[in-house]
Amino acid sequence: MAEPTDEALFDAYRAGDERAFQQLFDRYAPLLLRLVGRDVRRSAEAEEIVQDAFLHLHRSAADFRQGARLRPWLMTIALNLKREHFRRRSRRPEAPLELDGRQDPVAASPRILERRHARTQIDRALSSLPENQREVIVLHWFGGLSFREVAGAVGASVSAVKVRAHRGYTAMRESLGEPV
Amino acid sequence: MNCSGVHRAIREGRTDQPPVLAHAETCTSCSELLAGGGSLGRAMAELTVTPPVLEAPRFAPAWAAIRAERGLAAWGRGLATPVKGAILGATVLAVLAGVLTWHPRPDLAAYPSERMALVLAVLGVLAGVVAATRIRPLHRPPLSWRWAVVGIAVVLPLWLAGLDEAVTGHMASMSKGPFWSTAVTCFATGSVMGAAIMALFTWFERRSTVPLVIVGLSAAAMGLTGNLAMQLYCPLTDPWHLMVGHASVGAVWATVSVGAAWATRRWRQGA
Repeated sequence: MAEPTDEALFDAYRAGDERAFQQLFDRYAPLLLRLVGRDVRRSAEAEEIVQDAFLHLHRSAADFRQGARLRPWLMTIALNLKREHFRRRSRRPEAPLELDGRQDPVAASPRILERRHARTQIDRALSSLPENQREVIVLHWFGGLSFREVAGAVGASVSAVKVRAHRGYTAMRESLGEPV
Repeated sequence: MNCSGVHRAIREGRTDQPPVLAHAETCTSCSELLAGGGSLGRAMAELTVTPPVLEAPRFAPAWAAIRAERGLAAWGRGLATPVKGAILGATVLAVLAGVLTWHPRPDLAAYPSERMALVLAVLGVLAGVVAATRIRPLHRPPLSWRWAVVGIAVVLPLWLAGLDEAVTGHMASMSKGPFWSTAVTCFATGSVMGAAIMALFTWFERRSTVPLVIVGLSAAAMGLTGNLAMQLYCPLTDPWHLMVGHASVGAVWATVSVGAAWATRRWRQGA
């Protein structure tokens, strides 16, 4: 049987099915944690933002329109909560949280070390981008949003986010030492 | 094929397929990911190999908070944003109707109607914009500060024009009691008239922690509502009285509420 869509699950939740919300949580909490954790170093703070995003999703249920997609909706909430978090702390986004490293084996083989090094390099390249470029790439690549949805999430035109993504990817290639 | 398809193909190492290459021809971002043998795409794919570990107990507070969302407070927070806007608008209109019904300014008939329309329109539009910004939901992207600068540049001269002393020829508008006494009375009256708006903003708030700028916007909207009401209530037209007794409502409460919110936050962080 096909998996229910996000929108079907959210509709079911709004009709009183708590398990549907749990399913949405299981589906999106890891992704949101990865998106938020890219900029928020302390894992406890990143988790707090993700929890807040789901609480906000619950409180905003009446605003969700038929025909809209839940994925960009939820990501925009998480993104805005992350922005408010940084504004509150008067801090800029930090070096990424090493979430991906948690599952690496303790005894690292040369191949694993090499991959870890490559990951650190690309992580640094992504983190060094201006926030508006990084935000677009994170939502597009990690979040799986289309450029149209990214534009809606960051409040810019589709062509503007395409330009930001292109510039960001070019800058990343440059910082990785590739000829551009 | 779209960008998502290309991203999937990169993650799965299928970058040499014709549909992938065809998409890259038309998409500058995907072409960057695939350039130079696709090294950037492969490196990006490395970042998404392992999902973060999620430990259910750490997310228990979110579940507890969601299950605790009951009662009148939760109902107010959960209202759709357009409904909130309608309630706020109706409240402002009710305040203005109440003033006009029970205590209109004595010189209302003599007050220049064009000037009254201008002042009410400027304050009304400003209150509407501030309130809409205040209740803007988090699933919408943030507004650009450029709009705020443009808005202030347009509205400020109009508002200042409204502070210019109006000559109605009516006794009430010319009678000037002790300056500070009348100013403080008007400040208190304006604050009371705007208080309902502040209460509604508090009731409607969905965030667990309200940003200081939002606290300031609430006070500004409250002040503007108070000013709208005072425009229909107070006959005094002395610009200094309007500045100190009327316009100060938003400024003073914004300063007080932002200061209190900031101090509370610092105290909590220190505790």
